[in-house]
Amino acid sequence: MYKKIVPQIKLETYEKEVFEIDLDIAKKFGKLVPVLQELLNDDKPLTIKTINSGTLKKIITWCTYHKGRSPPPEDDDNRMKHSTEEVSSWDDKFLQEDGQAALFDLISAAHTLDIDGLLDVACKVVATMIKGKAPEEIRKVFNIKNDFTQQEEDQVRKENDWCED
Amino acid sequence: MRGTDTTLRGLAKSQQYSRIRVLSPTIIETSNKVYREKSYSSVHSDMSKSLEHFSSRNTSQVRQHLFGSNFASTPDFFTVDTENVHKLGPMQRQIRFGTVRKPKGVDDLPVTLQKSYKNVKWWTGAPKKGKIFLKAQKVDLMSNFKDQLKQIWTWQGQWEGYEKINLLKEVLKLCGDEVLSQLTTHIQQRIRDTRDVNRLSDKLLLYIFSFLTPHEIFKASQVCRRWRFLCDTDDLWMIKCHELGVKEGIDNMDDIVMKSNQNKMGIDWKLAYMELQRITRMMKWDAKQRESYIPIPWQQFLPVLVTIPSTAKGAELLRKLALLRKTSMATLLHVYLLTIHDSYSNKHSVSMLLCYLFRLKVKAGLSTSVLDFQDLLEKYCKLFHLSPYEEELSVKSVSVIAELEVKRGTLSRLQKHEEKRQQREITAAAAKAELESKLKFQKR
Repeated sequence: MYKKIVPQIKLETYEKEVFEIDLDIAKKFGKLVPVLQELLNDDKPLTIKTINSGTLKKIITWCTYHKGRSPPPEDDDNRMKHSTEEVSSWDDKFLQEDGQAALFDLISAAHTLDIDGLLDVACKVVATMIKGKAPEEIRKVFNIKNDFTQQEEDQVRKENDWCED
Repeated sequence: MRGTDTTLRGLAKSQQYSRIRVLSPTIIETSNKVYREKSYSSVHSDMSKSLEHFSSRNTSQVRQHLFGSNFASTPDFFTVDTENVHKLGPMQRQIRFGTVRKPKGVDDLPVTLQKSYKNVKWWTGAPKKGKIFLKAQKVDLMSNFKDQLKQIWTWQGQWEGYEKINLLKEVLKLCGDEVLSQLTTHIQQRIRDTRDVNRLSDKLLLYIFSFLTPHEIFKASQVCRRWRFLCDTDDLWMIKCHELGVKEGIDNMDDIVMKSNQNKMGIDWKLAYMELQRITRMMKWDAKQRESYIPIPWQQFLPVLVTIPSTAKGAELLRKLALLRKTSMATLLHVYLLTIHDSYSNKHSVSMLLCYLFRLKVKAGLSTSVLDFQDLLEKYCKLFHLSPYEEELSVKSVSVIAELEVKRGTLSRLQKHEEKRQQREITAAAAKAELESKLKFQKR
């Protein structure tokens, strides 16, 4: 039987688990692009300590899903609504299903691997979590402790009065 | 061949091109073509068009540009911990490396200095520059229970989730109270660490904030100290400035602001954004007003104008409005005068506006003679049931007329005006006298 050989590279995660990644997907990792050829020839996996297996799995799933889909062409209309553009429902569901911790892991990993699309989408998901909420609600959602004193809080509110209308 | 090769260099190149779209080769090619084919004057416009394309960058590119470089991160300055609990990173099987913060100059000094200073020997030379070799501080688990730990690690890799939980449960059964309480704080801390947004670096947090609107940024700045610090960052507001520009159809707003920075000092981008927002709002409002009232008959705007207080203050407001919009001020004032014609208390403002209206007309070159003004005056006075020679009105009108006359270099018209006024007074007096005499005659 003829079997198509797909060039693959090997990555080792923090848990010492080795992943084999197709070249098409690996090309999306901006940080790896310069060393891709070496990795292809090399049999030893590249160790990335800051990424754990779950996150890498997620990244690979995301990349395979988006492989066929080219990013929308950047014409004038697109540029106009770039920042307000909605995240697609698949992405939204995919990124949120494992909870916040996984999402933050994913953001850090996407940043270390320099995956543009994923970083954008994930950050947008976090931004939508912040959107339309009062400070107290944001603290609740992200589990942040309020380290302002009452006085400071009033002051911040006063400083930003110009925004209110 | 070049375009399709999958070698490293080709890949890197294609990456670069997709990143820096402004320099894509097709644009350069087309502009060259145009230059060859057309005469200079037409080329110029075309070139400027393509140049426009050059200067236009989309927001994501600006984002890239700003957040591409490395930032120092601030989470350590804003840590919430007061209970002296260390942040627990993932457990590691190897010797840990950590950085030791040293003042700049001290960086290159030999280790012996620190030895004497710290009095504890917990390093053995630097494996890399700036990195220092840290031993596990309390119990060196790896050295004492090497085999057991290895065993557990392999289990962790092979077992299913519930099996791991069972193992942990068994281990917990062995623990005493003290250990358990220690463990709970440990676990709480671990959970808090992983669920905390603040473990993201400044760069990433700013990247997230850059997707928010200014109003939401303001909300976010009230959340905690670190966020407040980040929300005041210039780069964030630079992006917001750029976005505002894109929204209004200007592609290089940040460049414009940068160029207009005459003092060559640092730009406070938040202030700049506030100013830009104010300006755009004002202009929009202005454009809206202009758009709405020029083509549409003025009757529709009566209700709006009525709300402007018919006092001297209101008149001043209108005058300022007129300064903003020069063209159709005459109609606006006319409408305003009509709306307030039944209130007698504002003779002063009426006269003021009237004079102003006339001055506008003079400026526009519609009328230059004093007679025109007098006609106007009489017309409005009829409307308002005022006498044109009432004190306030006449003082004002005289001043306008004097202005006109001085401009021409003669005062003859003013004299005529005075004469006419006197004549009218005389005729009025005569008529009165006549009337009185008639009455007297009738009485007799």
